[in-house]
Amino acid sequence: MSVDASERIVNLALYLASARRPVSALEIAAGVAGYPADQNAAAFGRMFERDKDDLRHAGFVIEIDRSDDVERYRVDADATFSDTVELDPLEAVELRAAAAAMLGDPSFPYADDLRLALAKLTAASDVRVRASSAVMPARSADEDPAAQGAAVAELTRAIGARKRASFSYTGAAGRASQRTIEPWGLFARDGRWYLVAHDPAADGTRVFAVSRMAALDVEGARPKTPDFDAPADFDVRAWMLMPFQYGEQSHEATLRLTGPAAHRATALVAGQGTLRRTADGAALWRVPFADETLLARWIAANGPGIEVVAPDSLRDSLTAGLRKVVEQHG
Amino acid sequence: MAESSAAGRARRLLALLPYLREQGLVPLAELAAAVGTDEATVAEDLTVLSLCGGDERDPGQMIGVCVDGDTAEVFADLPALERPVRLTPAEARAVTAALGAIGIDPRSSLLARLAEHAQRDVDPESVARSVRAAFALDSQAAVIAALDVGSELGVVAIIGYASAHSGQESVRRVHPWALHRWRDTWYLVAYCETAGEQRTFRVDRITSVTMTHDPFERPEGLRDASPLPDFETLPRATVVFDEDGPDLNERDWPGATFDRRPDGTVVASVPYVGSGWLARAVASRLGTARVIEPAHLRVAVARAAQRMLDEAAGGAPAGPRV
Repeated sequence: MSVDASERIVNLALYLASARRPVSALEIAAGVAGYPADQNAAAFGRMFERDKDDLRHAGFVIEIDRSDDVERYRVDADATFSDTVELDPLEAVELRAAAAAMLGDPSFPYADDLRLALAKLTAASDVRVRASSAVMPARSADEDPAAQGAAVAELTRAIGARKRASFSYTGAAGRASQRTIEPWGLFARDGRWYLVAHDPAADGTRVFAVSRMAALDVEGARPKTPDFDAPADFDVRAWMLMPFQYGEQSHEATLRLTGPAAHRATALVAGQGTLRRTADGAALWRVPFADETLLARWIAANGPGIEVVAPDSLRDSLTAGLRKVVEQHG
Repeated sequence: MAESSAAGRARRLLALLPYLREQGLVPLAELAAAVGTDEATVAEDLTVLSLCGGDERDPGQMIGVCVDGDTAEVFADLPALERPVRLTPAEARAVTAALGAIGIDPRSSLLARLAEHAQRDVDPESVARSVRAAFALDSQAAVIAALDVGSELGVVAIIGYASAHSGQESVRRVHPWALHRWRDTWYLVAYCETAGEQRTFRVDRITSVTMTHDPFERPEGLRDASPLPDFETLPRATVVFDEDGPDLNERDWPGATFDRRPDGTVVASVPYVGSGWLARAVASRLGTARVIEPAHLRVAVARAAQRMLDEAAGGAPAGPRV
């Protein structure tokens, strides 16, 4: 009787997990239902390799014991299995709310992994699964969300395996060009996913809007051998610039956030500059900027509760601009 | 490389096993919700699982489960796998990104605890160095969770709300109907008793949530309640921009149409709900945009700009501190 591949993988998991000692490939071929008795060693080897990879994707840490002539396999129980997870009721609701929003969001690239992670976490805790929630499926991206999600999932694998990716990219001017890049990081901002990548042809690091990519292709040859090295200290946050930060950031502003702006300060500053809470419940934000006019506009758009401490020229351009608005609308 | 469908199914089958640990009856709906699929798929999965086990000649080593209608019956102890399997790095990344979307920081104690349940080399902070789906907002996740519970229990919530328009904080009694994430922002769609009508609130401006014991009635058809208005039915303002720019588009000005004139100016027709958002959007152009009509919106723009001037001059700070 032929056995479904998923059935064979489960059998292998149960066999390895219950083995009291490392087992050889020969023992596995004989003891796990699903490996055809009549296949040759090479065919068995390929099938077993694939099954081991699939088990690793499911979370099984499989070790190879080479202490004698024959390779033997065992599940590293401590690395594979865990104990129960303690969650307080509020945390459990946070987890469910995040799941309700993101599992239904076509632009969320990790829905399959999230589903399985939640299955594991709820099994390991006493959290009750609840089918319905007031949280609606999120619409984090507004331009072809499913295509952005699929491309980001693909690029995430490329980043993890350090494989080059190529795509046709339509720039702001509307011209398409072919790029082959080394992907380093991904971020989402205001409805769009962006890729930060090293572009060897341009000898520089570039930010690409994922929605402007077409025909994305990740290097498939030698999937387990990296094509490049990313900087060890890479942090994608450094590339999530605010509109007033593009260009040479030769100036620094100090802004005081009070009231509602202090309340949502961490979201407002989005990882840029340094944010320091002060004793009076306010926060001081020091942020480098390139374009003073755009920074003044940002302050006006995101206040009230954002006060310019320095530089004076920024305060002056903000107040001059606001006076003009009052005159024009008087 | 994409996972094959057999591998995907195998992962789900293995994820189902912990739910079959104890003998007894389990509703298929519960299992389907646990692994995020539908009942028909779970029924198929369980049939496959019933054929799995250590040694097919020994029934005691097979997974003892069968499906009867909408219920699964577990009739034998599960062979092996009695402890939960840790999260893989990919699964930990998915959890970090999803929790990030509701505002939870990678360094939070929740993610630290979940990381203990992941494989050894998993660290949410280093995950977030290569993928960032959102930025944390300390209080937002707790507000979302509290409102979600309030909605589930069907009880009125009292929220503190810092208005973007005035900077003043108001206290409102609301019926939490639905929570939406649109682009980077979370919205609460609720009936506001204080205003006497349906309102949409930005969650990042909700400063506190307190649950009451007062029940509320939920209207029908709420799953369609959207934070976005129907632009066709809204009044429109005429706004002139001195010059064109990449931010003059329908994404940044939802529902707007733009008329680009030969002299370089752009005349926009912009739908609006209340005057607050549009007044601030125009004022923040700092003199490079003007509302032509309606007149009341011109007044709102002048007031918004004046309020910011007063604030810059050290005028009354915004509302009670949180």
